[in-house]
Amino acid sequence: MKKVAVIPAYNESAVLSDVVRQVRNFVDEVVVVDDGSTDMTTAVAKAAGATVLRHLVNCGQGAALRTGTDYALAGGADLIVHFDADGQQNPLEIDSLVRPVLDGQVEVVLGSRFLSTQNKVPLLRRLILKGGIIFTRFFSGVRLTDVHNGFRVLSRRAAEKIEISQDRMAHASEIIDQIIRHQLSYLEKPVSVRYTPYSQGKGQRAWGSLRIVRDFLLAKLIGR
Amino acid sequence: MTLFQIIVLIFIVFVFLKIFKKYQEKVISSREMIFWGLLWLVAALLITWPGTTSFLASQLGIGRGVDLVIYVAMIANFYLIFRLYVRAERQEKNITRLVQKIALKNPERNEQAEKTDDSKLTVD
Repeated sequence: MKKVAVIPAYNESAVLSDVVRQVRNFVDEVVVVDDGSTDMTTAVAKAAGATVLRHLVNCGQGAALRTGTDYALAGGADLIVHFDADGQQNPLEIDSLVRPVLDGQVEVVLGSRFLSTQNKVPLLRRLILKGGIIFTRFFSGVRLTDVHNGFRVLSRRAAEKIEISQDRMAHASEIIDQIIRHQLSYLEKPVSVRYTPYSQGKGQRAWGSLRIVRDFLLAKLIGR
Repeated sequence: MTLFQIIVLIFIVFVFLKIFKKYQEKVISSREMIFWGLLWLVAALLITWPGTTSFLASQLGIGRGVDLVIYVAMIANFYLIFRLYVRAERQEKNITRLVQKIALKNPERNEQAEKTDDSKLTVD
């Protein structure tokens, strides 16, 4: 079972080294997609042992995930782990998310910050995510506890079926929508999140959520 | 003829010349030249005979000629903006596709950093 981690990264040279080194212990290959970084992200990732795919210009996290996932599939991956570059997620939890897919129980495992009672999510973010949950329930017809989490595991079959056409942040909602559309079996597992001043500074602005809604709805309207 | 009309008409003549020049320089196609030329021709006609807008407006049941011009201009604007938006989206998608293709063709690895050992720092 070849396990490949895909880590989209934009200007994360400060923390990427640790992330890559730790994630390496749990997968067979780490693929970092450098989304047009202007710092040493590529060099840092390479030094830490990752395979780096570099976008010449910044295209968005969705596009980066697609690039990495396509590469992993072409390389014969049986299982793909999506993981964030900013150090908010815990590599030690990779095994617990991988297990249900490895055992053939489900095709997709989605990480959820809200299944774990230990996470302290900032109020504004929590509110916006609640809004996202209601939105997802309405448009995709599914009830999840966390609709915007970059920590997920896809089986090969799931990765092949899911088409990420959203380049920017709406990809998370799109992936969920696709899971339902393709009737892929899934389950949510608790993951811990560690907010640091570094990752908070890079996090999404509150308005970003409106842009996600707009992108998602527009795509549905145009029929993508 | 008011001063305003004269000034605007002179301006439109310059615009015509500019449009033709762009066509000669092959910056725009003949179709584009005709399109923009016609647009400005209509503008010139409406400026020369302002009564036409009032006439058309009353035919359509709208109060004033000016209102009609504004309504038409707004609808045309929305439509043009929509077209521009779609084109911009398509271009961005095309760029992304190209960027991804290039990225996939050139995967980079550091052959020296193959150790999985977490405690050692490798230097390339």
